[in-house]
Amino acid sequence: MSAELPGIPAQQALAFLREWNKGRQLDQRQLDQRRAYRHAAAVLAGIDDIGSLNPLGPVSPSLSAAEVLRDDLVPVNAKRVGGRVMLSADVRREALAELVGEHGLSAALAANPKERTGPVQAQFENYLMGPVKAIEKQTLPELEDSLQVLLWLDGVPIEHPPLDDVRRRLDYLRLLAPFESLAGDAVFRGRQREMDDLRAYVGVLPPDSLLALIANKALSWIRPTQRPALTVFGPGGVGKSALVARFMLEHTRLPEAVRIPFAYLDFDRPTLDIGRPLTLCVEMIRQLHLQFPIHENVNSLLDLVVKQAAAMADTDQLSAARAALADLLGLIQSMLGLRPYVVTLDTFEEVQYRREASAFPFWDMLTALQQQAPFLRVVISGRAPVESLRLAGKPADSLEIGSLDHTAAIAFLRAQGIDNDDIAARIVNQVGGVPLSLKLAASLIKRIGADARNIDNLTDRSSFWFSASDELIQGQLFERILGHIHNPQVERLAHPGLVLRRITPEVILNVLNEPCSLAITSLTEAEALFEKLRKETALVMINQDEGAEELVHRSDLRRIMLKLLVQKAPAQVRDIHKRAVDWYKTRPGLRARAEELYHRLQLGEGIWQPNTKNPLDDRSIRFSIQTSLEELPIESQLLLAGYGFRVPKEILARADRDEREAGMVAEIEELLPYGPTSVEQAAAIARELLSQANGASPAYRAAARVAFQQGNVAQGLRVVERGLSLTIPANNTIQTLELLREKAWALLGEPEEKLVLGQLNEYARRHQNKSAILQQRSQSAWRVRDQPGERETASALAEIAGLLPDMTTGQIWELVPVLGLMVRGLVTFYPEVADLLGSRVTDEKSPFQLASFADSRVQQALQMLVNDVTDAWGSEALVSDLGLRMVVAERFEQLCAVWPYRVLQVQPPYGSRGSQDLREVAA
Amino acid sequence: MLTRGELDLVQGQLASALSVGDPKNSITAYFGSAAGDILLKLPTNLTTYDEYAVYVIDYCVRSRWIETPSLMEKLLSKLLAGGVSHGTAELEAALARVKLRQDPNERFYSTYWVLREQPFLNRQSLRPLLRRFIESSDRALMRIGGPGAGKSYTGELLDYLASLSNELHFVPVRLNDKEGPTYTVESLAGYLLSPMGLGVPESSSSCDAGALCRLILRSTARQLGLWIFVLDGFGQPDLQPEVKELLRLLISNCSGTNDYRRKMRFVLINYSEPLADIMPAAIVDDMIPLPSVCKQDLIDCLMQLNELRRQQGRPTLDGLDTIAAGMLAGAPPAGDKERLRYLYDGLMALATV
Repeated sequence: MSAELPGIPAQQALAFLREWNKGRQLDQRQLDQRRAYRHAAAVLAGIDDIGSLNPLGPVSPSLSAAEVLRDDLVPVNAKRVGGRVMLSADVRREALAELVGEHGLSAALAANPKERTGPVQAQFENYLMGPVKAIEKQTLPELEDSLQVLLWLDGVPIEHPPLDDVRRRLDYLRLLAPFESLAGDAVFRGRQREMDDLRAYVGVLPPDSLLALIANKALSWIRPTQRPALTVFGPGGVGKSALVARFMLEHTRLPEAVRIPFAYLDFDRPTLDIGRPLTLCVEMIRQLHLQFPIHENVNSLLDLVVKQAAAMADTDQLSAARAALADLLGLIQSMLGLRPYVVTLDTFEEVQYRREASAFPFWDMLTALQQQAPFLRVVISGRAPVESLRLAGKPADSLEIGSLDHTAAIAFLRAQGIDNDDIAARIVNQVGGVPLSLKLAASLIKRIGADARNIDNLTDRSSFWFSASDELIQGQLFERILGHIHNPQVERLAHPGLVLRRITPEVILNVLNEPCSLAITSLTEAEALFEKLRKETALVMINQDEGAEELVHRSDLRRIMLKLLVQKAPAQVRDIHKRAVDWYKTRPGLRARAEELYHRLQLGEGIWQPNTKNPLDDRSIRFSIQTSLEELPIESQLLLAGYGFRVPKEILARADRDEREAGMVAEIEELLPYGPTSVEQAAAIARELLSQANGASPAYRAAARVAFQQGNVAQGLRVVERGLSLTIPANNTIQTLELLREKAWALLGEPEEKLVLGQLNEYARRHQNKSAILQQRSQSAWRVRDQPGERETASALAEIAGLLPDMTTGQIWELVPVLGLMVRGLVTFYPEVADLLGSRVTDEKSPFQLASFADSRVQQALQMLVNDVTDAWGSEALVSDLGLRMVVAERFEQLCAVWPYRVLQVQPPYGSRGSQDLREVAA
Repeated sequence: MLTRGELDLVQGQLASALSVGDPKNSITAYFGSAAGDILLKLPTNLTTYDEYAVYVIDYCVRSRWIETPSLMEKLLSKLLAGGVSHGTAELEAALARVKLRQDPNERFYSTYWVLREQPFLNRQSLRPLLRRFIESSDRALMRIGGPGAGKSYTGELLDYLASLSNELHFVPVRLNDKEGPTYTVESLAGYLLSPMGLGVPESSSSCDAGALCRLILRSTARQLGLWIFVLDGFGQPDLQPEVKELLRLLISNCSGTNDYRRKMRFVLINYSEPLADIMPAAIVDDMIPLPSVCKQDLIDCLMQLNELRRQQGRPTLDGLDTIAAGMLAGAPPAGDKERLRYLYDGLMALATV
């Protein structure tokens, strides 16, 4: 064993530290050097070559700039700044203040001319030396650079605009940026009629007229009356968003006296969720503040609502949002008089694809607010007309967007790079005035050259085709573009490979290889083909999916092309669908499930495969299918209607009575969770459904559920009895069972309950329906819970504990209030039930995690359940704790106590988290 | 679960074992009923037996002790039962430890000396939080805040932990003070992706926050090991909206999806923006108090320094209490940050005596 070395005494160590510390202090010469380098670096946005930096002033450097400034430099992260390193913000500020005091800015800039490059440096020098453009005249990138520079100059005695003014202006330009790119002067053409319609709806004159009125001091706002909403609709690529963007852009260019306030809510943005109205309020108030910045009250309101939105993320947003919007409208009236306030909801198909019923709480809010503020105007833009919003007691007015007129179409082509008016006119004659057709034609002409023969042959528009539809024309144009892909392998890949919704190298190898005759043998070859196809930007765009980088059809083209692909090569297309099913069924994940289902539906197969769970239980898969629903065969669309999918009316009209009935029943179920207005709409459908019912029908159960949910128990029971009087003689035991379940739950605690439970028991066991058995046992045990000596409870608990493990999380969710009756006893006698419920609650795809209730009490109760279970089950040591298990039972009971539904089996309203897993490029 | 050396050994032996037949059959034989999930998530682009081995080991490590027996225990048992070409003793020792649920990497969390012989003082509350944050996948986000100094320095401990383990990858992204207005979403994505050898695509359709988020999630999910992204300076007010949006999307997706949480976590330093999408239960908060360092912290650090010096055969320091008191007395009075910096530099200097 080696001897321990003698230790270093503490005093020696401290003496060492004192010496070390002395050595750290810079002497006067070094301080002067550092100052000279700091001054030189302070006027440079970034420094590319620190080794060559010249100090400011006559110092004889003994150390390099890199050594002297070692602690002062930070790496440059932003490309626009330029260079590799820069002075840290606090050191820069100090050095700049010294330079200003010593009038040394010019000399400092002159010291390192080579480093003075890039846009941020240019803007920096403008502020240091002048002159500088007013912030109102700066473009968005210039203003971003200005803000960067002004942050460096903050606290330095140089005159510059207040930072908050720059920030606000920057936010305003960011608000306008999408309008400028969609509908700026360089791109927007025509649409006079539609613009006039929009103005007439809102109640404003064209900008020129407004300006004239202002000049003549003749402008006064007329007291507006309540008006229904305006739904602006048309197919993808026709220019809906451009129209509403142009309308707003025009108004932003007017003086404040005639400008109308607006809010633009684009549901393509993932931050906006119609189910969380406070997020919409924050955006509306923020935008108003940007448009009318001088009004400080708006700012105070914004601060308040931002805080509420953060604190009330999942709680009672509705009443807070209503109060905030009422305040907002009051502010507008007091600030701006009676001028209209336009709320535009763009890309509304995103909401419709997810579940339009989720908009009902927001609709209720708008309806109430318009009564208070009749100057509120609501414009909704999307692919399909909006039917669910009734303002001023009326359905929305419609504005359908179609073709451009001849002059506008020519102007549109000019904006697409076709400069010759004669050529443009001939193109318009060939393809018509739909913006998408014009865009395709322009793209094609650019590829093939603009000689007369090419233009006249753009489409096969012979006399036979003279009346060809726009879709057909677009299809032909698209096919011509395909024909100009020079690599035949890529052409075969695109046509018919693009019947797939998404293409990856793996899909090329495993699905498309044979049907498209690609003759590739490895993933590497597939990757090479993928890279070639991605360059065909007229056809495909890149989608960064969570599972893979994919190529997808440009969304505006897919609708047209798919029909053409199917018509041209039906056998090949069918083969691709089959291979796609085979491929995706072996792949994990929701994306694969959605694609598998999509291709099954294309093949006309069913939704459920044996021994699998229903893929439509997942919201993200539903959303994925809904976005492509119109691509599917009619039979599949009708099938999906029965699952509550939004199917075009003309398709539904082809359905037989049973299919229509199933569709309406599903629609009722979709409407049940979203509050009174939504349920009222469900009631209207139920009335229609009952009026058409003929014999035993699911209509009775649906109508009864609506009545029960509305609190009209007597009416609901009458409908149930009518239903039973038809289903029992018809020996329709499934419908009988469902009606009995509704009846039993409606009669919970009533004397008649006992008899119904007896009947329910018989039917539930006949069908071995676990949910029904569980309901029956729970209600029966609960009835006799206080009776001494009863044996029902013990046997019921045992049976329920045995049933639960075989039930899906969705089934458990549907029975929450039923389970709540007996959960305490269950957990006491069968602790494993708490574990099971815990695992279901913490399952991240379960409704417990995804549901989002507007009522704060329900949301809080659900959140407490989820949080407590997550905490308890996150810690392995705690799982065995009976006390914690009882917490689960208590939280479950608390949730049941505030449960908002009077009927069982209601699907929860989903917040934004419900459909984020598998976002689609809108089809 | 295993040391870096043990992991290398297991990888070599497993690759060799898998090369005997179809790797998928071997995986089924090794893991029984658990093999289904492993095979289901098997990447499609594995071409060598080494790649298969790396994937399987990563899967076992990620699952830690969730299953009983653990997947790592199954793997080591099968490997040893099948016979290995070398390293039997090391693997037996590792197996015994895995059975006892002992992780040899745990002690590294309590170190006071990290990379390049730098001290890593105090942070008594951080260490257990960080360990749990890394080892279990129930939390996606750690926020480090509070009035005390040393928040950015947290990265040094993570950097050190990552250097000791194949399982852990540390990606620090630091935004300079007041650099927000010109810092773009592509820059942020580029910094997050570059340690994986990836870049941001040039296509404009791939460069909005949503697309970049999906790209980053997907790319990280395909990497081996656990990725800790440490974002420092992103709480400043003038960030571009797209940068804020990317951060929000990354954290909310990671928080809401088990598969992502198993592969990546986020540490936000000095970030006080509200995170409405994230459940409070998914966030770990570490607050540094003022003052950030007390005398006992210095003594603990010096004790560990003495241990290191003893191992290196160098004389130890006596009178640690006196040294610590002297250091604190000599520290600059202005500002916790300067004080901490002085103490760090002083300790580093002492380490060279």
